[in-house]
Amino acid sequence: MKPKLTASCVMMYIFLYLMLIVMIVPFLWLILSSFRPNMELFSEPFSLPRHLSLANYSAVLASHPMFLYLFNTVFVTGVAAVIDVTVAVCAGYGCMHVFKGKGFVVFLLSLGLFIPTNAFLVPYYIMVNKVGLYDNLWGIALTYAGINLPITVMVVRGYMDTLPTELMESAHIDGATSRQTLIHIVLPISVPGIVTACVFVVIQCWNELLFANILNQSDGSRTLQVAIRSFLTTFEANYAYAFAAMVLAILPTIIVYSLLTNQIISGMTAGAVKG
Amino acid sequence: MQRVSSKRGSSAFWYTVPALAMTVAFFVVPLVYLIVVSLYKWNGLGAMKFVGLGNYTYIFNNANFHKALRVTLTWLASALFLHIPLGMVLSLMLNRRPKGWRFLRVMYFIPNVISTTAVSFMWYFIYHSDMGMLNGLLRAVGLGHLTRSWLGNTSTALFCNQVPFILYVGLTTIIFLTQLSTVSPELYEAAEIDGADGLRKDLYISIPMLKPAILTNVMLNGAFCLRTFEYPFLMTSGGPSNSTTNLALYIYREMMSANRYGVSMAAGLVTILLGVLLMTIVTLLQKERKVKL
Amino acid sequence: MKKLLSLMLALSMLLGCLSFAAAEGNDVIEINIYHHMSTDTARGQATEKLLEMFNEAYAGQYKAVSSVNPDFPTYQEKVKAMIAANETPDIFCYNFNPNDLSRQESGKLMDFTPYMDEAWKACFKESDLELLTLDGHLYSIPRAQQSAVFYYNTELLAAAGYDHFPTTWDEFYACCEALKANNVSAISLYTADDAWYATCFLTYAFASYAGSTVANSGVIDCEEMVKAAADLQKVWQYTTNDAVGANYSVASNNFANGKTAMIIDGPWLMGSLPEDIAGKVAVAAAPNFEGGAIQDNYQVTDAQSPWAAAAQADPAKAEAIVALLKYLTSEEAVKIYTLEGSEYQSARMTLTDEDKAGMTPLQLGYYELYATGTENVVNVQRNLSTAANSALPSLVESLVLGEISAADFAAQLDAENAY
Repeated sequence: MKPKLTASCVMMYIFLYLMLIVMIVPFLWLILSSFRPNMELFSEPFSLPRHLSLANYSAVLASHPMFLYLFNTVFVTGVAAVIDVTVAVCAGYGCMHVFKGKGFVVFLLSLGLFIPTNAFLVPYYIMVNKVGLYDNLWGIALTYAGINLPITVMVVRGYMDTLPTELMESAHIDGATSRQTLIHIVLPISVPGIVTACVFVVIQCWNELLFANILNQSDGSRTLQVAIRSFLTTFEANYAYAFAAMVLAILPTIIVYSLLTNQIISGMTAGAVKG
Repeated sequence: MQRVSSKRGSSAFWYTVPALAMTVAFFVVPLVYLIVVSLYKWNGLGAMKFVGLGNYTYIFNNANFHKALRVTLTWLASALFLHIPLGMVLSLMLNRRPKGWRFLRVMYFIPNVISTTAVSFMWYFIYHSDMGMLNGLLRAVGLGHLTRSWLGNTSTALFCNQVPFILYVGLTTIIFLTQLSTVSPELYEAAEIDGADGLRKDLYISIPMLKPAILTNVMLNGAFCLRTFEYPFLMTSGGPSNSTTNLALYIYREMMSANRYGVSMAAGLVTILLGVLLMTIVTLLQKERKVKL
Repeated sequence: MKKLLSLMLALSMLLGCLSFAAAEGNDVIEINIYHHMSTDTARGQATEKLLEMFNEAYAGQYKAVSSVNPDFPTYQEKVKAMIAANETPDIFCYNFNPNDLSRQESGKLMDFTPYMDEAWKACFKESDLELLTLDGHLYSIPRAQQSAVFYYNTELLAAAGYDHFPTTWDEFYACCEALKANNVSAISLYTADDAWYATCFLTYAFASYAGSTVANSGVIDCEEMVKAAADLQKVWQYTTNDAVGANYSVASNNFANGKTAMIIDGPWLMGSLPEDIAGKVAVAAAPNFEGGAIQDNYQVTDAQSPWAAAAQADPAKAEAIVALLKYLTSEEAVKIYTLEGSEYQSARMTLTDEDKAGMTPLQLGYYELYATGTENVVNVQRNLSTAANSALPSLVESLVLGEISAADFAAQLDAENAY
């Protein structure tokens, strides 16, 4: 159904590409600005840059352990995603069966969906302190896993509920144990749901600031988001450095996204609505 | 399902135990803690002093809390009336498969993978009164009289805070598009035979089919609006004169700056009640749909 | 399940091993000093230099390591959070506030009373030690209480027809007006975080109306404060467009980039000014009213910002901390802080002519102004309760945006202070 080139059709194109410009151009300006010296940014922010240099990047990398922050972010994101997906797959598999008290279990598992977790600022902070994980990557990673579990369970369980139960039953008749059924039958066909959940969790964790900020103190557990925040605070308002740091912080996600666009979009497409 | 043996059933329960344990640790325990400690006056360091509902009477009589509540509700409104409709319009347009729709779909999603922290700072510079892109653009097109300090003004700061959220509809659009992809092509073909044009097809076929996706989007975006912290924290620090302080930032401030942990948790409980209310409405609407189908 | 459990177990064991590996090592006692003086600034470089010198002097025995959070308001919040988390830094500094003794009363700070021998005591002013003594215990060591003075860009003032800094408030506003006519923002101010520049101005105005006794008394809701708040409203028309919502770095950058002609700040500002601009900058005594309530060359100071340390179970560690603090408050160290770091310390020192010869004109100007100060008034925000301090930025914004009157400002700030 190719649309004809009517007036309304032209309007549609204008609107679609205008949205594209509004969404993307600021990022291009950000990237361009990150190659310009600070003084030039102040004096003529819009003129075409006269000097492009990597000086900002080398200064940022020289004075701040950006790769450590990157590692920290990857670590907390990875740990949280692995925990959440593992736990959610198990829970989703369990919920494919009928058992006593299932209603209550389902209620409890969806409880977290109702709670905006920023309300738990003090409780989480005290809990993490009590178990001795303040200023520790594990403290942040576990908190992230906890916060994002409900949405992961919702997406994974929502997807698994739509799977045909005959598969499981025939596997059972063939004498497969429940663990074998999970690993060899259910898991492979749940991949789209898992991808969707993973995309959600990874985006959330990668970009989280609030808890990363209050649970962190030293470089060893500082994530990229907390680090770039500090570029614009007291004594360090060098905008050009801040831009370079921001680009460094968003680059990995953009690279991963552009490499996995198809998987992410099709994963979202397959899994998103089921929830 | 019914035929699955009861032995199987009891082991099935064990599969849900890790998830249950985490839910108890990260939601039930903190909730109980929150409710109990919100009855105390506490600065986080010294002794706790029981004040009953004192923290609650404080926030309900506190003008700044009222403001924060209003700001959070405004965020919810921006999701319902601007963000979600925009996403719907874009998805309906993309669903007509215009040239380059795949490319657009991919590009629209990019801001969603970029951290809110970076996005907030970027928009801080866009709004900057001297070196900002927005004022620069206005001057360039001869609308210099409209330039202002966008974030330094109580009448514009809140909306400016919400603009990036409203604009970045990638995820919302994809959820709508997915739902649209489940509409069978025969429906459209039948409508075309009846002489329906694109707009009519959208109105009578697509939009009614989008109900479940609307609810999913209300849930996801509503939850986001209740917890959004980065935009007001980084763009305006909640100012000017608290006009952009939402509940999330209020909770943070009361804990970290004012050291009134009890007040912070009382505000937290109010936020949770808002969340429960929102989610209950969405769930009820979902149930209703299931019954109708 | 089993797999998951064994994975968790393996991970926790790995974690355990790592922490053991970290705990082992040699007998050098490591002292973690958490502060806000980043090496981007002169005072941060001075701190690093002093720590290196200390580590050399005590090689094989002690090792001081600093970790830095340059954002001072956040730094202060972090310190409290760390005390609450039982992770009190070995050594840190904070703004002393008689209305917020939560740190001292937490029971987690080291009591220096047993270590305060006569020699060490002689390094400090009696009044500083008295201020920091709580129920006979000394939980903090005086570090710095610095004056925030008026800095001005001589070039921009000259262009507006002023060869000197205004001495009266009338002249001050006339000067602002002249600068405005030249399209220059007269003064750097900001409202985010702790609204430090704005409260410095407020306190200067307050002090000149009320005199030092009233201004230091902690009274907020009074006629003089209302007048001062009205002045803050008035001066706001001469600041930059981005002042509402700006933070310290934005506002100080405006001065450093020559966008504003004046700024009120502590000596640390000198350490972060680029060289090209520092040559054009001078300091001056604040404007006053003729025959006003306070003597000329009165100064608004920051809070006393002392050193404190975590209570130690291990006496050897406590000795190490005391050794480092004694080192940092020695005359030699204090001179390095003053001359190289532009950071004026509470511990006593005498500058020789030779020392003075090595100072830049700006540094010398500050030193002489500081040394000849008549009456001191502590910035009003430093004596507010934490709740009032938290509400202060938004109240200042409401005031300067004209949403509340000067009288409302004083009344509401007083109400927050009372909670």
